[in-house]
Amino acid sequence: MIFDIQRFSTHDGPGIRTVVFFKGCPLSCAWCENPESQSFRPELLYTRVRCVSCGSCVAAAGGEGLRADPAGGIQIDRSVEPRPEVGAACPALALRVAGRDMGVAEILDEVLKDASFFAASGGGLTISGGEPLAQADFALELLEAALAAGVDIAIETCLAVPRASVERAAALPLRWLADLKHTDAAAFRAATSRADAAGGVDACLPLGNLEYLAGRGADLTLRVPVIPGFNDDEASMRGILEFAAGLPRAADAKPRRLDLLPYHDLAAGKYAGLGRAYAFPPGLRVDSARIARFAELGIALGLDITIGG
Amino acid sequence: MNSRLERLKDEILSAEPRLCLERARVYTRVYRENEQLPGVRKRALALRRTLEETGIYIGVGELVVGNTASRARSAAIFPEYAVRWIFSEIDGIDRRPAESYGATEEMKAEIKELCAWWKGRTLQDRAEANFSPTLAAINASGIVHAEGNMTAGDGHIAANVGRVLELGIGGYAAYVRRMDDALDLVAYDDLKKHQLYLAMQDSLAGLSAWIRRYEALARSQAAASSDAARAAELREIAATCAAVAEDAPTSFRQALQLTCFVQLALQIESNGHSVSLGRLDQYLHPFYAQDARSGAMTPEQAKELLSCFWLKLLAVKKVRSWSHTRFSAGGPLYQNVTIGGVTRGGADAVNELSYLILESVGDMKLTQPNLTVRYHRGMSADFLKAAIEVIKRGFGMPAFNNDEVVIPGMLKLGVSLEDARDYSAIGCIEVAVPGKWGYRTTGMSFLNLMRVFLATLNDGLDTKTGKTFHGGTGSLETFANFDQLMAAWKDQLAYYAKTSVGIDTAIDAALEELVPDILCSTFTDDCVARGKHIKEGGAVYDYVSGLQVGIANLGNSLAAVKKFVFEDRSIAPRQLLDALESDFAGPGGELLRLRLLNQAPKYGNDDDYVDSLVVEAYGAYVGEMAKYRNTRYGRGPIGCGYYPGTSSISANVPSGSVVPATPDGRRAWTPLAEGCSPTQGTDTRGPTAVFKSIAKLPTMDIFGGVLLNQKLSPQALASDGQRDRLVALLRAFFDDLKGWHVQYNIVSRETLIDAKRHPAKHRDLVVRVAGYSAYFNDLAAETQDDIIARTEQEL
Repeated sequence: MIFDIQRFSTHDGPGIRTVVFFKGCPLSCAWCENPESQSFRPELLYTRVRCVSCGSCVAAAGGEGLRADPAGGIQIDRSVEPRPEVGAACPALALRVAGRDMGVAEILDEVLKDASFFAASGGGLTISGGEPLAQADFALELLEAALAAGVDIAIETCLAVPRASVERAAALPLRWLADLKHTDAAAFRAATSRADAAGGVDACLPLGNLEYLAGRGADLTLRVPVIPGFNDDEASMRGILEFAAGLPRAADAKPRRLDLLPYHDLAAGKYAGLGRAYAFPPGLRVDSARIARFAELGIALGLDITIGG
Repeated sequence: MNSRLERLKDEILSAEPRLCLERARVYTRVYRENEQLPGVRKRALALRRTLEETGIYIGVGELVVGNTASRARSAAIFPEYAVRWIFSEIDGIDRRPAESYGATEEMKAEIKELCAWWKGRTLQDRAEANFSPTLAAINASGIVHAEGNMTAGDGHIAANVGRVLELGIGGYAAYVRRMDDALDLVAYDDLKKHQLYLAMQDSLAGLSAWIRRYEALARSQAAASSDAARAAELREIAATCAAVAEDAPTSFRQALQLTCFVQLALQIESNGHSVSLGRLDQYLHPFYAQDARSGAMTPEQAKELLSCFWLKLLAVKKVRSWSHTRFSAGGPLYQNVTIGGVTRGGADAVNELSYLILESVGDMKLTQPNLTVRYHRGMSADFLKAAIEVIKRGFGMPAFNNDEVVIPGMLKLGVSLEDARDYSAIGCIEVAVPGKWGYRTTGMSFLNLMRVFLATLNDGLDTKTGKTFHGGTGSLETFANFDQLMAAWKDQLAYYAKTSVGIDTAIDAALEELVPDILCSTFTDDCVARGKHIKEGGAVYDYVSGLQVGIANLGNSLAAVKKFVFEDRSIAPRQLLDALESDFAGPGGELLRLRLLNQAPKYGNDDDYVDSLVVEAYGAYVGEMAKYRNTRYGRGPIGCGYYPGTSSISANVPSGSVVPATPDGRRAWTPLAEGCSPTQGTDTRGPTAVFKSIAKLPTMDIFGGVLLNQKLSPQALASDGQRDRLVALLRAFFDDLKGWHVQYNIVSRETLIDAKRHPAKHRDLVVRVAGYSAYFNDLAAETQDDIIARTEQEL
């Protein structure tokens, strides 16, 4: 299931790229900038200020899950899975359904529309999410088809997936943009677990996958979200950067690339659109001096640090 | 920018635009006293006397000299073109919402007195006398807007400055005399040529005399100056003028000064705009290379002189009627300088002067000249990056034109390979072979496509005026299917395309008789050899393009009608027509408008459903225009046909103000989409999708230019990586997709909103308005809003 395809993306691997967003993720990080990517099922995103209370969506839903709010706007029963036509019915761009099933051929058609720009810029396809390897068969099929069409391929992944999926993907000439959120198992589990998943994900799973990828010499860039109260303290960040610096690499390889991605709250509106609460207070930022200090630390450890993607 | 340039720039920008009466006085006197002379000779004599008599100045610190009116940013009056608007607008000319000009009550009274003699004698009077009643009615309706051609005349040309530098003014005079001596005056044609040659000699004599006057003024200022350094500069100015008054230049400085004199004299002769410089980096390069080799000129000195020249271009102003002003907001004169591209032999033409021109334009951040970089496949990454560094400064320059489309397109038109490689931009995005091409490679009448489309839906009835100029084949209510609608569109379009050419012909005939440009013809090949001025067929090549407004609205409207009325059948024809007539009033009106706006495919998103409709509907226009010939056909030039052009300047705003609501969900009287760009705010799939949509058009046949504006926020070019992506984006668009043109606004939306609120804080904010750059503060509020509304593309 896919929830978006974004052309002309410039922060998701080299050159000009088209990003295909897979819906569904084993993690549920509170700072996620695509909260609609977490569930594996279609969801409604609703922007109240755009709504003109016309009732088109209620009619299209056939009385299932939507009803007009007497005070204006609509009330959404989120336990009902929305039909695709409910989003299409909205004339005001106030309501859309995130998530639809697409075939590999359909996605590839869209991706290849920008083939000229990939060629000129050294860009290509990036699969992202959500967690693309949570739909491993589908993801691999798409990557192989793109490769056969001569398109450069990349993946953005949290690596919280079984090793077998990583191994299959690693067999392809794939650029990896892999998350490294924390090295402490308890902190990782507490911050990333889904309410509906008992026990949560062990930090050892992504860390082990990173070691595996680094060990086989994959084209690997680490991405570290810098999140207030989660990993923006000196000890956590030192642990992360030291882990990154200690990953195996060939003697003649260039320094390991690592992107520090400072927390931002641009996605807060999407949480509201999903009817969910946003966990962070408004206006929260990570101090830029602190980010700079982490960057210096990373550089001192021999890493190739970029701030931002 | 050094302190000299900073001061000169500030002086010009802070100068109040005023009217200047001197030219009007001389022209009126010469025409009144010489009614017996043939038109060409009156015209040349009036130019000569103006150059001999009107006030000249050399400002403190200036290194390059010349002026078109008594003060910087003052505008001369051209009464021979039109006076009706002057009578109706002169009293309020100093209180217009934009582009107002200072004038005292005495000046206004004198202007009226001078213009009184011209009543019934102007270009506009003659052109209107040439209109049939139907043409006059359509011209008055706003479906075709041709006013600028009558009130401002021609322009849109680049003279053969390279040849002027080679021969010198004296060399040209000798050439004209030689041709004149060879005539046999018993023949009618030769008699006409003789009159033209006399006129040409007058115009050249006037030009030389004008330059001598600057020489004398510089000498007297030098003698009076107590500042030894300035006195030396003035003596250098005098020597430079003396060297080029008759003879060919021998140094970079002389060549640049002569180029400036020619450009300004052409602006005094003609009231038109888009008088362009051609390939400045090519024809000035030999002079620069020689001076650089001998050590006579450093790159810094050359940049300072170039910058002084740009300030001379900036100082030129022309006053327009209010309705014409709205079509070209910001008072631009579109004096284009083209750099880069390939040489006549096909090699990369970028040289050290190309860089100096690029950098000095970037340093000065002025609205003039309009700088164009000719892109070609072999252009170095270094030069492209240098160009993007200038784009980053956020004043909309340079724009790019694409050799990979223009050169093959020119070959298709019958231009020789060497000449095709030698093209330059004229005005904004349109192209011509400089020095060899007649006027108006684009810029004749504006055709309002959406008025034609609304007539298509209403059985030929123009709903704005209530008139039926061309009866239809049915209405939206009677069309059985979408194909019938498309056929009706083509039928209406064919009628109005022909009408627009009819209007052009009437105006061209009047231009030929009443306001031929003699000096400009002298410097345009092969006018002297043929003994014909440009309007008689003197140019080597002569193609004309009109301008069409509302291309994206047309495609989006077709898509909405096709989807809702003919495919889904979810909107009844009568329901749609009523909504358009009432501007979506009444219950359900706004909802219907939102459906049209948001639920039908929109051009600019690489969606074949709507893009193919644009290609078919606009393609029909391409085919129609290919049927017509201009007034020079069969009289000498190669070509003399028509082709379409989309460089609609700011006409999308006033053109929209005469269009009722349209089926793309656009409200009545609001702006149309500009150029070939998507409708404001509807291109949601990013710049590559916009490029793909545009590239589906037959760009090679839309030879008046395919205009695309994109606005970028400053952070989009913040890093080297982002800049490299823009280079790649351009290369793919031009090499693979055969795009024609693109230009960038690099200003944040917040900056624009703030500038509208606090104009004083943003005095030097320059933005791209369609094909040119203008000071944001010079724009009317509605144009400011239009620019703010354009989608900001994030890189």
